This record gives sequence, C-alpha cells and structure tokens, in this order.
Amino acid sequence: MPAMRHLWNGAVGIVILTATAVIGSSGQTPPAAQPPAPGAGRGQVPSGPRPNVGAADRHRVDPAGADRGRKTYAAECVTCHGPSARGTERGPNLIRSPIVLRDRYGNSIGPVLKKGHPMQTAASSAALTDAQVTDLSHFIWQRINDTLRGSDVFEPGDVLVGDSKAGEVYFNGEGKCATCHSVTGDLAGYGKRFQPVDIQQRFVFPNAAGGRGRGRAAGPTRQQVTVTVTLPDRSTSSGALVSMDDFHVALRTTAGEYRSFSRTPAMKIVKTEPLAAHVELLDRLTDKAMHDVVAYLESLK
Amino acid sequence: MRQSSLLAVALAAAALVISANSPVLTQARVTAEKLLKPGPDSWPTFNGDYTGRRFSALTKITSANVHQLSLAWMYRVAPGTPGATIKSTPLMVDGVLYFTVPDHVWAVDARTGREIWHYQWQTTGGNHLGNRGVAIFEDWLYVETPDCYLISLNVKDGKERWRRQICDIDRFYYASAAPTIIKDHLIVGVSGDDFDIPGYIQAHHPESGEVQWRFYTVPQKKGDPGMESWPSEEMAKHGGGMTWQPITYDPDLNYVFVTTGNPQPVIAHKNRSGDNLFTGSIVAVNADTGKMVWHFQSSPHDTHDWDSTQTAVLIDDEVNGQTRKLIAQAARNGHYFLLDRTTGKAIVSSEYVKGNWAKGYDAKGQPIPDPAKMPQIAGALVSPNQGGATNWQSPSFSPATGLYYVSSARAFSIYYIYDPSDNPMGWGGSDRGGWSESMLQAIDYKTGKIRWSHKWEGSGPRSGVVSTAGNVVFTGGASNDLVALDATTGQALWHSMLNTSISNGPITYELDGRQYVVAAAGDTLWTFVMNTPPPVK
Repeated sequence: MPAMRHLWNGAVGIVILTATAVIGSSGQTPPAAQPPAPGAGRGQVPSGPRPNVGAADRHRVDPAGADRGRKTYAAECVTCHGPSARGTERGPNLIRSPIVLRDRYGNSIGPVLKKGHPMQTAASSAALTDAQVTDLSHFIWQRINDTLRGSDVFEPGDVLVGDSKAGEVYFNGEGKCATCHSVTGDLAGYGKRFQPVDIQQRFVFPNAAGGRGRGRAAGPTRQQVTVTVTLPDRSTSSGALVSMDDFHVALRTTAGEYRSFSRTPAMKIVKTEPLAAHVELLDRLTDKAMHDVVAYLESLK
Repeated sequence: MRQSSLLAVALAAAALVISANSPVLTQARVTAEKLLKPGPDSWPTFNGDYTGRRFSALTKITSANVHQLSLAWMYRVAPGTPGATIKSTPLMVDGVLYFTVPDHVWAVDARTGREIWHYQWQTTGGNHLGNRGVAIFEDWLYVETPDCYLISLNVKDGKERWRRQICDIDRFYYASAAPTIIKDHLIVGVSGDDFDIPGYIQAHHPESGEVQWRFYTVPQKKGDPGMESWPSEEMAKHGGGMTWQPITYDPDLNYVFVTTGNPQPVIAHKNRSGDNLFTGSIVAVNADTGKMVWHFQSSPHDTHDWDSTQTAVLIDDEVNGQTRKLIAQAARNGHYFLLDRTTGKAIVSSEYVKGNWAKGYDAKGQPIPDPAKMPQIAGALVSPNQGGATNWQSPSFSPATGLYYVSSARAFSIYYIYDPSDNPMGWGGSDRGGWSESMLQAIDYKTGKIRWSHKWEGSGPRSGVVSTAGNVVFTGGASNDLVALDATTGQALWHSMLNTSISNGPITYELDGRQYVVAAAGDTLWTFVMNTPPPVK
C-alpha cells in the first residue's frame, strides 16, 4: 500500500513554515495543525493519477525530484503561484495551465522559463538548469495529482467532534445500542483498537462490504444472514443464506451441506438479518448523534 | 485489423443466411427519416428512438408467454480485451448489431451472433471506464474513443473514414458517450470529472466531421447565461457539467435535451458558492444552432457527485384531446421531475427513492440542498450515496402502462471533506463505506408516485431497462440474471442466469417474424428469442 501523506504535507506552504512572510502573502494558507513535511513527500512510491485517467504518456512524478523541485518552487515561485500552485492575486493557477498540463518532465514549461520569467529572487529563470526545470515539473505535477479523484493524499480529518457524554446517553437510550452491545464486553477497549474514522465507519456500516460508495469501506467482518425454508410438507431447512432471487433460494446448513430450492408460492421463507438494527438506525441517526457515539466509543480505552 | 479475413467471414455468413432461405443480410443506408420513425425491426439509436423511452411496440413476447423465451446465441468479445465490459447499447439495423467496448467496435449478425467485423483503435490513453455505443447514419458508424477522438467507420467493413479530436486528453477529458445523429448534425458529448474542466456538447457534420457548433454547459466568459450562479469567471469556466449520456430530441421543437454532470470541484465546494449553472441540469438546446432555450436544474449546487446525466425522456400526454409535450427524468439524487418540454417549467417534483439531503423544493420545483448534509470534515451521513439513487443505467417509459421504470438503489454513505482549504480543486473529498438495497421502481409518470417497487436481494444489480407493448419489462436481476417482469404489476415472470450481472441496457427487435431480446453481461452479448416451429421445407 502506498505511503499515505496528508493533502497539505506535500505543498510548499508547509515547507515554507520557515518563510512565514511568503505564506502571509498567499491567500491559501494551509491548516496550521498539520505537521511540517520533512521533505519526504510521498516517500519512495512513484505517484500519479489513477492509472486509467489522462494520457498514457502523462507525467509520472518522481517523489525525490518533486522534493527537490519544492525547494526551487519555494525560493522562486510560491509568492505568485501559491503554496499548492493554485494561483494567487499575483500570479495564475499553474495546475490548470494548458502549458503545465501538456508538460512532460519540463519539456513544456522549460521553454517558457528559458525565455525569461519573473522569479522571487534576482536570479534569471533562464539560468535554471534542465534538472531544476524537470524537478519543478515533478513538483507541480504532484500538486495536480493531489487534486484528482482517489489521490493518495485524501484522508479524513478530525472526526472527534462529538460529545462523549451525549454519545453514552444515546448508546444506552435512543440508539438502543446497549440492546446488543456492551462496553465491558464486545466493545471493551474499542477506542484502543480502531482509529476514530474507522470507529465511525464500523458503527454506522458494520457490513460495509455491501455498500456502493466509491470511498473505501471500513473493512469490518461481514455478519451472516440466515434463512429458514419451510416446504409445503412442513419440512424445514435452515442455514446461512447463499443466494436468493425471485426464483431460487440456496443455503448452507450448519453441517456444511448446500441446499437449493425452486421457490413456489406454497414455500415459506424467513430471512434473518443480524444487522437489521443497524439498518433501521440509518433513517433516524442524526449527524450529531453519530459524532457523539463515535466520541463515546473512542473514549473506551 | 483483420479486415480481409473478416470480410471473408462476412461473406460466409451472408452465404449461410442465403442458404437457410432467410432474408439476406444486407446493410442498407440509414436515413434521417428512418431515425425519426424507426420500425420495430430495428434499434437504430442508443435509446431505440429520439424519445429516450426504450419502449418497443413488439408484442410477440408477452407477459403470458415470456416463460418460453430461450437462448438464441451468445457472443463473447475476444478474451483478454482490456476493459471489455459491454456497457454499450447495441444498435440493430438490417440484421446487424453494432456495439462497443472502449477502443473496440464490433458488427455481429443479429440472427446468429456471427462476427462480421471487428475494429480496434490504437489508444493513446484516457479513461477506459466504458463506452456507450455507436451512432449510425447512411453508410457510416460513429464512435468516441477514450483518448478524445470521434471516428467514422464504414458499416460494411469497419474501415476508418476519418477521425476528429473532440476533447483534450491532457486536461483529463475522455470520451465515452454514444454520439447521436440529428438531421445533418452528429452530436457528441464529453466525459471526465477528475479535473476541473468545462463540459460541452458539440455538433459535427456527419460527412466531413467538421465542427458546426459547441455548447458549453458552464459559462465561459462574462455575460454568458448562468455566470451569476458562480462566484467568479475562473470557477465557472472550470466548473464541470460533463455530457456523458446520449441526448434526446424533439423534432417538432427542434430541441436537443442535454443532461449535465456534476460541478467541479466535486466534493469540496467552498470556492464555488451559488447554484453552479448549468451543471446537474436538463438543458434544451436548439439542434441547429447550439443555443440554449431553457434549463431546469435538478441538483442545484451539487456536492455529492450526483450528476444529472440520466436520460430525459420525452412523453406526449393526451389531455382532453390536447397533446402536452412533457419530459421526465429520474435523477441520480433520488428525485423525479416531470416538466413541460416546451418551457422547462416543472409540473411534478417528487422523491422516487427516499433520501435525506433536500429540504424541499423551491418555486421552480428544484430541490433545496440541506447545507448540513453537504460533505463535512467529520463526515455527514447522506442518502443516496455517491453511486446515487440511479446512475447511468437507462430507464424506460411505457405508454401502455404509463409507468416510468428506473433501476434504483436506496443507499447511505458518509461524505467527508479532505481538502478544507478555501480553494479546493479536483475532488477534495469523497464518501466512504455504505449500505444499500436495490430495486426497480415503477413510477406513475403523471404523479411521481411509486406504483410498484421490485426489490432485489442484496445490493442487487444496476442495469438498464427496456419495456414492451407485450406488458413485459426486461432488466438485470440480483443473481447475474436477465429478468422479465410483468410491466403492470412488477411480478417476476422469467429469468436466465448469465456469466455476470447485466452491464448495459437490454434491447429488443424483430427479425424474420421472431422477437429477440439482447443484453450484455460483462464481456458477453446474450440474445434470447421466442422460438417458433421451424419452416416446412
């Protein structure tokens, strides 16, 4: 799995925490709570957009090159083009620039810089070496990739915004969570076992593998739906539901035996959903209650 | 390319057909008149006709006899073909089916499934998520490619006539829509919402391929309609609104009905306050000039990736001897709209799948988004999820039952903002996890109320729908099956298990007096037929 890096860690705005005057001139100050990037960027994993978007020969970012390019960018470009290359009042957005989007390893931005382009220092842009231009290209393309769907910098922020006490009340009252769960039993130490965002996903969608959201599921264990089939002669078969549609039903018994039936009007089928209470909760769970319960579960250390 | 050998196969196929004493397989010219009034022996446009109804007048297959339907043939595209999930709706003209996957076009004998020719495009990249199919006019086919080209092929042998670039792959556009022929206009749409770029449709001359007009779905300069709904020209001109679903068309009004995608940036939206016109909308455009006539925004200021590209279906309503020109859409956001298609004014706005994101409707009948249910840093529990209450799967409207059939899902997920800055770009957020259930909704088109709902086991299928005058609806079922339902009651009548779930919108046509039903499942085209006794020799 690629090393995860927060959205803002790679942008110049973080690097130039040592150059606050420059940040101050930008209209795009990143969140101050994020730790400074130690120049590591995305680690050693080459990054880029999802493999199925863009041109086949699109720029592939070299993380080390992007880190080198970040230094040049901070020294010469950030005041006008902003910490994430999204532009400021002084200079245009680079990541939407057709010149940049056509660029491959500096072959498009290089000629522009060679002609002479204003920089922050007295240095001439024409004096930038080919290697520096290529590194700048890596850095800017990394900023582009940071905006694309599925970017590996996209991670949830702080989900611990609820009231733990209120969450406890909801857990034991309106939410009816205590009907099935115990904070000294199955949920003991829950806050030590999972990150807050995973607690939230697991609490709301305990069987998320069936979801269609494009975002990632939290990965909880799927709980088995069971079914009992009663035939006209009153004989019954029960077990884990394997499949069911309008015409057939199939199950596997506790002994491991597979059985399938053609459905008839005289057949009685009773399905048991172990997570029915969670599904029922979706329609009445407010965002406040959701965040309160997450805060409560997270407090169970 | 294997043109010579394929031609030999084609000739052999024709010879076989001749020897069987059946009508000769010929590939006749498709005229503008034929596109205006297609017969039941053809399916010459993406939706079968310009209305988008996907309704067939055929009655050989009925709710009483559909249980006798059996497999006629199957055709599997070359194993290992990258991206070979058939999402396209095949066209059927003069006994030949034409269908696509990204970078590939096939012509297949509609009677036998025998391949006539196969065209392969040498790609330079682009999103290969899917291709919706071809357009046909006179002797030519038209198809879009993932790397932003529109190409014209000879219907007889698949040889390329010309290619025209229709979008810029370097800006992360791609092309996947099925083109549409309107008179002497070949109208194409564009795709791509990874990056902040504007959507548009444009018309080409079918013969030369030259561009006739382009309509941007978001304002491009000061003074353009809709600019007041964006905070700045910069945001508007990068505002998204892709056009990746085929258009519908009213020849009397000469209006093309374009359905547009989500705004950009997609999820993180702090820098695009306003309604963000004309994203998430139905837009009526003059077919000859590309000028907008009216718009209706079904998802104002969308923040959930709920583009409104779902087909806008033309319905003619007879009231007291007067014909009312209507247009209906079941949008991805879970709301159904019935409009006057002359003016764009709403007649009915209602939920066809229960959701939790809207606070009601405004005076125009457009949903009012609840700010609390927009994506949040800590997460907001939202229904529907990003996949939507429906998606690209084609709906169907039956004038026989008055029902509008929509492949639907009721789903929840949690939407997060990942980029909390004041100037997000691209996505900046997404949804995670979720729960869903799927069903086929039958909506009374006049009231928007659900007449019946057929739920599928589990998270279910998401396939297109076709309805027929035989009181049958065909769609994908929950068990990788093609299912026939009673169009009036929703009762399941017949099914056939396939290799995987239905991946396109089924079609039906008549050949040699027999009614066929064709559906794609993954890389395979499955064709069913109502058998009749063999001819006496």
